[in-house]
Amino acid sequence: MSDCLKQNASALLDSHFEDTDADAGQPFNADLSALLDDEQARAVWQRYALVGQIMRREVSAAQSLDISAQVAAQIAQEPQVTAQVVTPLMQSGGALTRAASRWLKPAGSIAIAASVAIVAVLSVQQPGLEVMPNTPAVTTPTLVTNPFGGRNPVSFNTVMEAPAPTQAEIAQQRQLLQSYLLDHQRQLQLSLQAEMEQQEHANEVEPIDHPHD
Amino acid sequence: MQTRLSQSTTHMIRTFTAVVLCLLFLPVSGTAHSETSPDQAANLGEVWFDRMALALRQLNFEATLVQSQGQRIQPLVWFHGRYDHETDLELLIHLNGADSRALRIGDQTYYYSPVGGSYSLQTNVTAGFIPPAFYEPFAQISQHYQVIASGGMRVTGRPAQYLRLVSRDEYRYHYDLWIDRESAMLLKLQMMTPQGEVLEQLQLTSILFTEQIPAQLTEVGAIQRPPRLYEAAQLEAPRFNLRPNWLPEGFELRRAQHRRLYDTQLPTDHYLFSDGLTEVSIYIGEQQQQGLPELAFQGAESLINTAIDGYAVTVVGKLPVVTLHQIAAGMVMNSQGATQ
Repeated sequence: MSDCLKQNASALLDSHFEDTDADAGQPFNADLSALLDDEQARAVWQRYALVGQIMRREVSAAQSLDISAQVAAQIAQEPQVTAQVVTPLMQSGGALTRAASRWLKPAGSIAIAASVAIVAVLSVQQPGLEVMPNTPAVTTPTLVTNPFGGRNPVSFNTVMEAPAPTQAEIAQQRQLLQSYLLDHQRQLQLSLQAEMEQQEHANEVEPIDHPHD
Repeated sequence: MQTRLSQSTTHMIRTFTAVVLCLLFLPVSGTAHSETSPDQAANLGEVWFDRMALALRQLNFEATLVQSQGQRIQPLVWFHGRYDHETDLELLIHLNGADSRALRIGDQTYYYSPVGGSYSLQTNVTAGFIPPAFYEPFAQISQHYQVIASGGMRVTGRPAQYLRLVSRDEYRYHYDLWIDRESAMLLKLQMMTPQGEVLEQLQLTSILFTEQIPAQLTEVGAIQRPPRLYEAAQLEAPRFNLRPNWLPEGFELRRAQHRRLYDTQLPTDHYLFSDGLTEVSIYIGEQQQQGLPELAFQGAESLINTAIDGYAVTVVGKLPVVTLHQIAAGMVMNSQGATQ
């Protein structure tokens, strides 16, 4: 890397940290174009397409904080996949695993994949079941997050301690189990955040301006 | 050998005792450092763990890795750089499937996902990746876990120090860590049950250390940031007449509230406990409303559901299913409890 690039890099980062509420979310055009002029820098950037499309465009300062409502709407629109026969014993079968994955897809939009897959193993036991979409209106602004890092179950001991549920119950059970696993992940993230806030209150430090505070 | 011992002189018995003692210690202290005692191995383990915690904050690197849980494998690229004494930068990109990314600048973490909505949090670690406790000195979790340096092997093409991070009881999962001997970087991690079944693995496949912060990370100054997530406006205290009363030693209450679960709108009491490395959630709702059968899964994230006195109790966490059952069994009605 050239010294020039490093300096620019440093400038960019400085810009970031000097960012204020007024221009939050705006790119730093001058530095950016300078960096873009550097052939080598451009090549490096493109190597991994580091800034994904979503990082570039999707997020605008105007976006509502109530993501939950948006996600709820999104889920409501997505087609519900007919349940497939998957039992714990059959997990390793390719076709059935794929069937389970198909089922995972709609839920995946809010879910950690793992949580969902666990639920698939449990509850997707009855063939030909039409899943009733049942996403009630959101009354409490609960947080919806899509935690980074896939989580996947697969080789677990599934213990059914009660008779298998009736068909009508399956859809609801699936949603329920998933909601617990997801909620746990969300709460972990919020608890991490709460911890940070506590620490800051305790230390009374003022490290950096936070553009979104 | 024992027959001979019985016939030998006192002197010989002493010699044999010494030999037997040596043999006893061998498996404990590992293969590479057969001269270290268990205490030394533990001290060494803590030294290595603390070096790793520092390395995760301070090193400049560009790495590729795979994360596996069960049969699922997820490849990622991982960039990390240290900007100044207080601020490190991190970028993680999922290479398969949806283009999910996590970007962290100091204590601001931004999650970008094309399907789930993007959001920011104020945390100085990326959630769902490496346990946050691995960024802190081992002393923070040493009351309930111990870490033992135990030989080494070649990992990611580099000489590595092997560490076993085990809980001091059988209630929790264990970790194996492989740390780069040169840089103290974490090269491989696996989480397993007390019986040794591997539930989750993380393995670097390549790593490039750099003098300066990786140039790629300099791009992040220009990108837009998603909205910050905040707590629900006001937290309500738990309402139901049932509460957790027993957890494995060291689990402390982090959150306790009543709310409706987002996905199902079921009114639920929620408790979150942590021992510094592992978290567990306990959900309590009306059994009639919830209607789940008794069930249990053991995995990277275990879950049980059971009924107690008309309440549905669901326990979720990175713990053996046996522990979750014990937590549920230890719940008490408020009237029985000492305080509330």
